[in-house]
This record gives sequence, structure tokens and C-alpha cells, in this order.
Amino acid sequence: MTADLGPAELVAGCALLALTAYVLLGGADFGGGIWDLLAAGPRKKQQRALIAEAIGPIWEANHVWLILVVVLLFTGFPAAFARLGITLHIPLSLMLIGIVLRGSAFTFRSHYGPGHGQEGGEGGRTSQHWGRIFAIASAGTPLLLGLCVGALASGALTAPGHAGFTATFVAPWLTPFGLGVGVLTLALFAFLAAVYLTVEASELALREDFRRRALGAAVAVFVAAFGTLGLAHLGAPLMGRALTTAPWAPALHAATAVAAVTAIWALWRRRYRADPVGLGAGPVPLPDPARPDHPRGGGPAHHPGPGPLGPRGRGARAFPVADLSSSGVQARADPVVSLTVFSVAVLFTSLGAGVVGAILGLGGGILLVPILTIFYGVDLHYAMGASIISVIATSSGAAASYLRTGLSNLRVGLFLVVATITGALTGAFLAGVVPTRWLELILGLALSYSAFTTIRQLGDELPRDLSADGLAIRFGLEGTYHDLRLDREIPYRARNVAGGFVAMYGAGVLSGMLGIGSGALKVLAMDYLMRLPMKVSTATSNFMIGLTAAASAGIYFSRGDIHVLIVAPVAVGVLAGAYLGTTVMARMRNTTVRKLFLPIVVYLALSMILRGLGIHLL
Amino acid sequence: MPDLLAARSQMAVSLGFHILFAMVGIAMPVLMVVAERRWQRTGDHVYLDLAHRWAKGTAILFAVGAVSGTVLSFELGLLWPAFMERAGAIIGMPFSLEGFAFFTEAVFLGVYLYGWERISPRAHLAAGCAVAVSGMLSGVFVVIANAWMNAPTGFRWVDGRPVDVDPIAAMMNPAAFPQVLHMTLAAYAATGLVVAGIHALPLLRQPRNAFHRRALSVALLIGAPAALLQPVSGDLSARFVAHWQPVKLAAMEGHFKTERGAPLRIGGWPDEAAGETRYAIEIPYGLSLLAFKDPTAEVKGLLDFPRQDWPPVAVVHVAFQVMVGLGSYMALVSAAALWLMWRRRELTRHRWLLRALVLAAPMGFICAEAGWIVTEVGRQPWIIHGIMRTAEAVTPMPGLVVPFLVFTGLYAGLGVVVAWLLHQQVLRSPEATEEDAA
Repeated sequence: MTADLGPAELVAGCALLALTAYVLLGGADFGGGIWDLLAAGPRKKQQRALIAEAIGPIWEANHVWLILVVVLLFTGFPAAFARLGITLHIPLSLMLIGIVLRGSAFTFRSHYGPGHGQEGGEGGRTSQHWGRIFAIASAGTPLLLGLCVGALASGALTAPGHAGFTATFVAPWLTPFGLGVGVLTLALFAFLAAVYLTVEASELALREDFRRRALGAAVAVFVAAFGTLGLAHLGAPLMGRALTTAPWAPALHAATAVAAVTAIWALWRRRYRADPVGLGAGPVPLPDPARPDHPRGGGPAHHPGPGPLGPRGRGARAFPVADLSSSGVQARADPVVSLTVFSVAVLFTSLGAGVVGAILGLGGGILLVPILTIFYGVDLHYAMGASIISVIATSSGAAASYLRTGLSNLRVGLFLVVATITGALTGAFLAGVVPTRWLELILGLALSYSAFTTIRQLGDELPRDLSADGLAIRFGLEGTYHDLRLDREIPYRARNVAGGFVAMYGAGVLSGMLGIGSGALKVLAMDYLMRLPMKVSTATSNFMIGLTAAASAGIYFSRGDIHVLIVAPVAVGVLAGAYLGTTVMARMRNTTVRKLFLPIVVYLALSMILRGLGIHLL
Repeated sequence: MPDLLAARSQMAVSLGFHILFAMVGIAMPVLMVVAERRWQRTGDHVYLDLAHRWAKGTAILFAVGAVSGTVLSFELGLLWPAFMERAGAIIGMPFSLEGFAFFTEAVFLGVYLYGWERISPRAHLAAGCAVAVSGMLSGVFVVIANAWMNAPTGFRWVDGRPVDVDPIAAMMNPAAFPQVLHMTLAAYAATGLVVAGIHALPLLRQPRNAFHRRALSVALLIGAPAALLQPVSGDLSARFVAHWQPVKLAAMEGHFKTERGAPLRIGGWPDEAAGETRYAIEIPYGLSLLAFKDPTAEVKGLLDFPRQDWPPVAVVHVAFQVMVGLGSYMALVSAAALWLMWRRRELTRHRWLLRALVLAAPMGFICAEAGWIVTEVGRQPWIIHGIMRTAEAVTPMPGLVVPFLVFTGLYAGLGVVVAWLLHQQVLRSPEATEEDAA
């Protein structure tokens, strides 16, 4: 397929470039607001001051890109612009309110900034109020921008006909896919800003603060990108297909992956200055006028990918389907890339899944199965087989290292595994007797509740109450681990052992009946019911899931669901990822792990409720 | 509230709000550059202090102007999609140019505000000049786009669509020059006189205050000549309207019956139903003379045009009277001030002039609002004069009263905050007297 490059494509290309520029430059400003909202820790004040100082000179100028997009659209595509103005009236209006509020609040706040603090308390408090408004509006606006772009990409903006108000003015943009693009935008902006701020910070501790935030945001981007790509197949089929099967897709995703890996590597190794090689893929940054020695977006700040919101690369990193039809792995008829590319792609995906799995104690299957089936077109059975292997690999990779660091508790693990396996057997026996839809609904609601309680205790680094529990003392369910982050020995003891045991049994029953992984339920039970430190919970879960998975692997193997072409890169990738993940996790805060865990719980809760309502995501 | 009225009201509120900040964004940079230049030449630190403070005020107002301008560029499509669908390709050019001018202004304003200690004094002053020039240009381009709606040229209208679009010819429309001149002068006159008035007030109590004396002289240097020239440019605009938009002229003047030697009506209340303007002071032959340079020229009255082509006559007439009345007062006060300055008199000794300047302070902005009401309401019922009606352009979205109320509330809130912040800043002005400064 060769594209004709006429004037229309040229104007569209310019609009895309302008939008990309807005996302890269303005995005960092919005992201600054997000970090202002999330400012925490001992250097809260300095963080906010740095954000204000960094975006002060440039945020107004960055509006020009958005205006340029609007002007190019109505000059080049007036009919389309009119359609957008009608169907996206509501989100665009809300976005404008956000733009007005954050811009003026930022200016009003800096009015009280350094040099005007002499009014004392009152000025300080007023300044705080404006800061709040600035931060909240900064977080909301990207979400709305993403919603609009998502609606545009979905192709759902039909002519305003005689359909009702909701069908014409709400339904086209309020979609799961649109929300996905919104969340992805938010994550991207946060990542951009954090990276930019690491470069801007002159104080070492402050720089570390934003380095950590950048890495966290990178994970969020990663998750959101995959989620959005998954949703694209439902919400924006044209886009989803193009992203997975178009001839340019491999090059695009490869470039994105390289840029992302470079950026994260640079952050990881604390290479804050641009290295010339890495700059190649990044867009040309706009020099910050007030400080020519700080090229904006240079080095690690360059965005991982050619354009996060353009119709092309929304930061998704999937490769097209490999030519495996001859080997019978997948049935799709349009093979595109070679086996080598496929293997490398699966390897890298598994690496990511391994990292996430090791940190969260989930074994990576929850990520790997949807990715393999949706993006690589792998048959579900093979994907499940690969997932089982991935679980074993994570467990082996992670459990060994966690046992060494004392993070996973063998006694707690074995004690609970008894409950889970008994439960799973009961569940398998009950399957087909009890109607599952009600169970799914109830489980979904229960998970929603636990997501809610998780949010409430997001801030608790360690369990507060260490009072004894009779059963815990009898079974010796206690321990200490050396927390690399806090740099001290943390003693802990299980509470509510009976409750935890029952919950584990329940988790086993449910996983046996519903065929869902029980890793997340285990972590929740240990964290929430038994009050173990979050890191201990996920580490112990990692150890446990290996035991159960090893049992099931035999069954899958005998069925022939374990395909070596898929499983080999998966095993290698996941092992390496798990090793990486354990290293990372040992240095993380408990609260961070819990924050990362939260989206998984929310996802599970939603998918369970949807399944209960008869909607299957996969 | 009908949707069309709600959409028009939202547009009016957004434009009326933005124009205040846009005017300050055009003129204030000139004031701060003049103050900075005087500091560099004389070494008088009061001028440096003045430039700093004005720059700070400008930053607040420019920021609000930037975001409210972004809102406007979206609202064109949100409220008038059918208009943008037809006109987008024709007026895209001035809007793109405006974008670049705004960009330049924002970049150099950043340099100016944050670059006091980082770049050489000469470069800093140059940055200030760049802000002033690009600020003016960005206003020029937007007004050109608006002028096109009054005098649409540069295309052929075939079956409800434009063909043979020539964006350059559209920019060169006959309304462009008079409107651009009138608006640019208005920005300098209004901003100059509001600053002059703000600094004249404390001078009434402490006439020896060096800070306010210097501020007053710089503000008058910019504002007074512009205010003095404004009646001339207004005459140019009126003659354009007489020629191209006779209905608008008739509404402005409350002129119902076509006649030769038409009188100029001052004040009065046009009664659309009765077809006459009551209680006006009539100056014989005035209108014919002003509009066509001929005391016996025929001026067409509203009654000679179809009723559905009339704008809301009373609104347009009253707004026009307000603009002309207040503008004349500003011109008179400016003439007096300039004369005193030219004769090297001490302005602060003439307390009546200071009082007159305080009184004139808000007038420039009231004039600007009134003037835009004349331009925009006077063009009704057309969105593109003679080509497309406003009612055809409005979005099919129902419930437009909601966004109208939301944006009105938002802007009202912002207006209160900005006013309060500026008030605070004025209160903090220094008290050094001429003797201290010397």
C-alpha cells in the first residue's frame, strides 16, 4: 500500500506534528501539575517550587501548538472540524475550563510565590488554594484531551442525525477506549514531566525524587499503553488493526521500544545528560528560552515514540503477528513478520511481564495471556500454556531471590497453600453445579470493596498493629526482613490467621470454579486480612503460585498446549524479568507496591462484574 | 433561553472578557519597554522598579488573556460549526499568522520576565520590543479575520459553499484597515489611560511621589496620543460602515427614514416599532456630512431595508453613543494633558487634570466593549455579512444555556480575582518622594 502525499496529507501531517509538539511540550507542563498534586515526602515544598520554576517561563508559549492544531484543522478540514465541534462539544468545553483554570491558577499562585511571601500566613494559604486548583485542573485536562483524541480515533463520530442527545453528544466519546487513551495521556504527561524535572533539578535529593517518579510513571505508561491497545480492538478496530498488522507497524513499535528502553535505561543508570546516539529517535526539542543550557526534552526527556497521541503511535508496543501458521501456533491468515522478530517481541514482552509479575506476585499471566492472544494472535490454549510456564518461571526466578532476602515467608506460604489447594479442589468439584454468573458478580463487588480499602490504606508503609494472634504464634507465622528501602530490619507477624485461611480457601474455590488466577486474591488476603507488609505479601505469593502452577503444568503439557516456539522466549524473558523485578522490588516502598497493585485489583473487579453481566473482555 | 441566544451570549462573554486582557497584552509591553529604556538612559532606578512592576502585572493579565484566547479559538468551532465549515479555509490564514505572533509574544515575554539577570540589558530591551511588536501583530491578525466577517471578499459563493478561495484577497478586505487601526489605537489609548488613572489617584494625595509621577508620564506618553487620534480613526471606520454596511450605520445612528441632509443624533432611544428615535439631540446635516463628506448626501434609513435584516437597533445605537461619548471625553482629557506636557508644566499641580484622568481610567475599556458590541451586534443577523445568517451557523447541540452560564461564572470569578490581585499590587507601590529618588 503506497500512500499518496497530496496537500491534504501534508496539512494532516503538520497538524499531527503540532499535536505531538503540544503533547511533548505542553504535556510536560500538565505533568508538572500532576506531580504538584502528588507532591509528597520530606521535600514536598522543594518539589513544588521546582515545578513552578521549571514550567513558569514556557507554559503560555506552549499553547500555540494547540491553537495551531485547531487552525490547521479548520483551514484544511473545515467539514471535519465542524463535526468535531458538534459531537465533542462537551469534552472540549470541559477541557477548555481546565485550561483556563490551570493557566490562571498557576499565574495567581506564582503571584504569591517567592518574593511575595511576606504577607505571611494568609498569602501562603491563598497560594495553596491556587496550587490545588492548578494541580487538579492539570490532571483533569489531559484526561479530557485523551478522551477527545480517543473519540477521534474510534471513528465513532458520525453525523449528528436524529438520534437522541446521548447518542449524538455523549456516546461517541465516553467509551472504554476513550478512557484508556485518556489514562494513557495522563500517564505519558506524568512521565514526561518527571523526566524533564530530573533534568531541571539541581539538588541531588530532588533529582532522585523525580527519577523515582519517572520510573513509576514509565510503568504506568507501559500498562496504560497495553490496556489501550487491547481496548482499541474493541473501541477503534481500524486503529487496532493498523497498529498490529500494517507494514509500518514493526518499524514504529521497534522505534518506540528502543526509545522507551533508552529513556528508562538512562533514568535507571542516572544518565541525565543527553547522549547523542539516543537523541536520534527523539523529536527536536524546543529550547527553553530562559535557560539555554537546559535543552528541553533532551536525552531521557525525549519521548519514547514518534507521537503518543497521533493516529499512529499511541505508545503501544505490540508486534504484528508472526508467521507461525505453518507450525500451527496461530491461525491468522495474514502473516507479516519473521519468526525471529516474533521471538524477540515475545521475549521483550515476557521481560516486562516478568518484572511486573515479580513485583506484584502475580506470575505475569494476567498480562501475558491478553497480550499474546490479542496482539500476537496466538491461540488461547497456547497462551494459557505459556502463561503457566511464565508463572513457574517467575516463581522460580523470584522465589529464590526472595527467600534469600527474607522477603517471602516460607511458613506463611505453605500454610496458605494448603488452604488454596483444598479450595481449588472443592471449586473444581463444584464447577457446573453453582451458577457462576452470580459468583462473578459477588466476587467483582468484593474486589471493588477491597480496591476501595486498598486506596484508603495506600499511605500506610507498614502495618501499624503488631498485636499477637493465637494461631500466628502457634504456627510461627512471623518473621523479619531487611528492608533495603527503609534500611532497617522490619519485624512482622500475621494477624487474623483464621480469616486469612478461610479467605485463601475461598480464593482457591473461586479460582477453581471460575478459572481465574488466584495470585491477586492471595496478595489481597495477606495484605488486607493478615496485615503482612505488602512486599512480604507479594513475595510470598510469588512462591506459592509456583507450587500450584507446577501441578497444572503437567496437565497442559500432556494436552500439547506447551508450544516450544512460544514458551522458549517466554521462559527466558520472564526469568530475566523476574530477576530484574525482584531487584527493583526490594528497593521499593511498600506503598509503591500497593499503588502498583491497585490497578490490577480494579481491573479484576471490573472484568468480574462485566463477566457477571455477560460481557467477556477476552 | 433559546440556544441561539445562549450561543451568542457565550461568545459575547468570552470575547468581551478576552478583549480586555488582549488590549493590555498589546499595549502594556510598550509601557514597560519605555520605562526600561528610560532607566537605561538615565540610570534612574525608579524607572527600573516601574518596569519590574508593570512586567509583573502584564504577566498576570497576559496569562489570563492567553487562556481565554485559546478558549475563543475553540469556541468558534464549538458554537458555530457551520460557520467554520464554510469560512475556515478563508480565514485560516490570519488565524495561523496570529498563532505565530502569539507564539513570538509568549516566548519573548518569558525571556523578558525571567531574563532580567540572565541576558545583557540590550538583549533584554530587544526582547521587550519583540513582545510589544508581536503583541500588536497578533491583535492585527485577529481583527483582520473579524473584518472579513463584515466585508467578506476573496471567494465566490456557489450553492452555499465558497469556491475559488483566495486567502490573501480575504485578508485584504476593505474593513481590515479601518478596523485594525481603530482597535490598535484603542488598545494603546485604553491601557495608557487606565495606567495613567491608576497612578493619578495616589498623586492626588502625595503629589511628590516619584514612582507615580514617572508612571504617569510614561502612561500618558503612550495613551494620550492614541486617544487623541482615535476620533480620526473612528471617522474612517464609520465611513467604511456607511459604504459597506448601511444597515449597521442606520442602526448605529438610530436612523429610520431615508433622507438627504440627514441629522446626527446624539443620545436618544430608538423605537423599532414606531420607526423613530426619540429624545435625541439632532445636529442638522451632521450625519450626511460625517458619513459621506457632503451635507446633502442621502443616508439610507432602516425602513428601506427588509425587517429581517435589521440588527437589534436599540443595543447598537446605545453602545455606539457610549463609545463616542466616552471616547470624546478621553480625547479631550488627553489633549489637555499633552498640551500641559508640551508646555513643560507640572502635571501634578493641576489637580483637576489628575481628577479627570482618574475619571477617564475605566473609560477606554468601556469604549472597547461598546465598540465591539457595535461591530458584532450591528452585523446581526449575519455571521458573514450578506452571505450567511448567524442562525444557520449555530451548533445543533441543545442546552447551550449550560455552557453559557458555566463560562460566565468562570469568567466572573476570574475577573474578581484579577481585579483583587491588581488592587493588591497597586496598594504595594513604593512611597519614595522626588527628593528621595534624586
